Amino acid sequence: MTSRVKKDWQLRLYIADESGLSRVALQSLKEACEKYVQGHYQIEVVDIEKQPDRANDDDIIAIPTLVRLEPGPKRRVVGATDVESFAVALGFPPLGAIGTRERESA
Amino acid sequence: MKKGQENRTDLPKAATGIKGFDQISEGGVPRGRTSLVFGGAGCGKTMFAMNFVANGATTFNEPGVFFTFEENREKLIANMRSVGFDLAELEAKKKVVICHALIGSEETTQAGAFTLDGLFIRMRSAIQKVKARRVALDTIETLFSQLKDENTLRREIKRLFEWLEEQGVTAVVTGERGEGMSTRHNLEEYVADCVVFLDHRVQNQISTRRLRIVKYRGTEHQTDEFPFVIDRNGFWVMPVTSLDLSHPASKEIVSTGVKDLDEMFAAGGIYRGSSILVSGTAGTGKTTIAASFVGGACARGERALFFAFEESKDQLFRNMAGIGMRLDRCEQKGLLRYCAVRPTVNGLEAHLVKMQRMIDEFDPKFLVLDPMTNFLSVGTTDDVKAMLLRLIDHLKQRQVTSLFTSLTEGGSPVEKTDIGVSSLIDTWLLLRDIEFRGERNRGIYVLKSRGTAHSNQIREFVITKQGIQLQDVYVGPEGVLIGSARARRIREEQERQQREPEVRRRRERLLAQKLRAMENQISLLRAGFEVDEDTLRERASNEDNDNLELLNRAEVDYRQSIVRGSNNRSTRTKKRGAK
Repeated sequence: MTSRVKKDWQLRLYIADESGLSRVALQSLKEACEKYVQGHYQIEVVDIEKQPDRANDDDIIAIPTLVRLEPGPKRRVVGATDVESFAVALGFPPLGAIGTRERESA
Repeated sequence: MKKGQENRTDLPKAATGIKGFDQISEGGVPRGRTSLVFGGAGCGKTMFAMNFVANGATTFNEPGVFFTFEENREKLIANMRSVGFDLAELEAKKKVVICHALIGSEETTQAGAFTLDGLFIRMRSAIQKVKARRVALDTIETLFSQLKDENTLRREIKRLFEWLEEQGVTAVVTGERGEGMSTRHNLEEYVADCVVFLDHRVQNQISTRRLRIVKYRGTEHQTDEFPFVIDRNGFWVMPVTSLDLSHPASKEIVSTGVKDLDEMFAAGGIYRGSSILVSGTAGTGKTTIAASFVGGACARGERALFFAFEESKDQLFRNMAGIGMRLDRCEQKGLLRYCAVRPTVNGLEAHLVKMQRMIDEFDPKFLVLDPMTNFLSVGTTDDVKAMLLRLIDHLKQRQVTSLFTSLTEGGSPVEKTDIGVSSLIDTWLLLRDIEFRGERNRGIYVLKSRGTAHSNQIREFVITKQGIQLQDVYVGPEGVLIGSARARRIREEQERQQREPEVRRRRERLLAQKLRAMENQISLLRAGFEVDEDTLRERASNEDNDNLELLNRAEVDYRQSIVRGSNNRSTRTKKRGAK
C-alpha cells in the first residue's frame, strides 16, 4: 500500500475529436484524479482524429480508452463513466490516503 | 469474369484471385459490399481473407487493408510467406497496410459507454494511405470477448459495415462458427450479400477442407460443398472445370505404344484425350501396360507424367529396362516426369491439387495413375470417384490422354471396378489370368472403347525382352488355345508342313513310274503292229490282188489277233474287250 501511493499515476486518455463520450470521460477522469490522487498524477490526452498513428501504436479500437501506464502493469479502461467507476477501474487508493500523507509531510 | 455474366446480373463483383472460388461464385465477392467468411478454428478463414487482400494488391491493382484482431504483424507476415506472399514487400510498396488490434494482451476493463471510433479512424487513415479498394477484418468477433457490452458492439459493427460500404471498398470479414450454421455472434445478420462457410473435418485421420457459399444475394452461385486446400501457392478451391461436360473431343488417334494392341482397335489406336482404364488382379501386367503407353508417347516426342503410388522410380525403371523399355532415357530427354508418392501422405484434395498443378506445369500429353485404387486408403469410394471425376475433367480439358490402373481383387467379378469409375472411362482394357491345363497365362481384352470398333477377342499377351507382345489368336477344335496348348498346336502344324514335300515327292515318283510302264506297253504294241503290217504287205505283193479269200482270212486273223492281244494286256483293257 505504501509503495503504491508513492508512485505517480501516469494516465493516457485516447479520445476522438470532442465527441460527447470523450468529453464526459475526460471530465470524470479529471475529477477522479483530483479527488483520489491529487498532485500525483499526470494525464496525457491523445486525440486520435488528429494523431491517427498514435492509435495504431497502442492498438486502440474503442473510444474513449484510458490506459494506466503507471503504476504497472499496464491496464486499459474502456468507455466513459462516472468518477467513482473510474477510481475503481484504475485502482486508486482509498479516499484520503494520499491527501493525508500530503498534509502530514507538510 | 465473362461479359455475359456481367450483363446477366446487376451485381458487380471483385475477383478474389482465389483459384476456384471466383469460378463457383461466378466472379468473386460482391464489389463494394461486405462479405462474411466463417468457420471453426483453423478452417482457413484468415487465409481466405489474406489471399483476398494480397491477390488484390498483386494481381488486380487494388490495394488493401488487412485489419487483424488475432495475430501480430510478424506472425501474419511469416504465415503469408509460407503460402507465397511477401506482405512486408507489399507494405513497403504501399500496396497493403496491416493493422492490428491485439487488445487481449493487456488487462482491459469495460467501465462505460464507448464507440469504435478508434477502429473507424484507423481504418480511414489506412485506406487513405494506400488508396485501398479492399479491406479484410479478421476476426472482428474477438472484440466480443474483450468488451462486454454486446449491444454497443453490435450497433458499432453494423455502423462499421455501413461505413465501409459508403467508402466503396470491397470487404471480407471473418467470423467464428457458433452453433449450427451461424457465427458465434450472428455477424451474418449484418452481412446481407455474401456468406461463405469453411469447414475443416477429419475423416480416417485425414483432414479435408470444404467451402460452401451459404448465401449470395442477387447472383447465381454453386451451393455445393467444394473441397479446398491451403498450400505453398495459397488458397485453392477445387476447380470444377466442366460443370457442363463441354470438353473438346479430339479425332486424332494415338498409338497405345504396343503395336499388337493398336491392332485390336479398328481405328488403329485410341483417341487423344481419352481416358483408359486398365484393370486386373495382381501380377497381370497393369504397370507394364502403363509403361508401354508411356514409352509410346515418349517415342512420339510427347511428354508423359507418371504418378506411381506403389513403385519407386528406380524400381520401375529397372523393371522396365528388363523388358526393353528405357524409361530412364525418356526421363533424361525431359519427356517423362515420374512422381512416386504414398497415397496416405495427403488427403485426396491435396493429391488432386498437386496433380493438377503438376499437369499445368509440365503440360504432358499423357498421364498415368498407377494404381488409382490406392486412393481408397485415403478416402471413401464416393470421395475417390468425385476426385477422379474432377481429375479426368481437368485432363480432358487439356486434351491429355490418361491411363488409370485398377487393382481388382482376385475372385471378385473383374467387371466391377472398386471405384466404379467405368462411366468416366472411354477405353477399358481388362487383364486377366487364364488358368488352363495347369498353367497361368495373361489375357487382355477390350471391354469397351467409346467411339471405335474394337476386337472382341481375348488375346494372350506375353512380356518379352522386347516388351509386350500379343499372340495371334489360335482357334483349335477345343476353342481358343493359349499357353503351351497353343504352342503345341503350332508345333504340330509346323511338323505337318515339314512332312508335306516328302509326301509330294513320293506321289510324283509313283506317277512317273506309272507313266513309264504305260509307254513301255505302247511301244510293245507298236512293234507288234509293224510286224503284222509287213507280213500283210508282203503277202499282197506275192499273191494276186483279187484273191479275196486270202484277204478275208487275213482279216479274220487280224480280228482274232486283237482279241488275243487284248487278253494279254491289262485288266482294264480286258474288261473293255469283253464288252
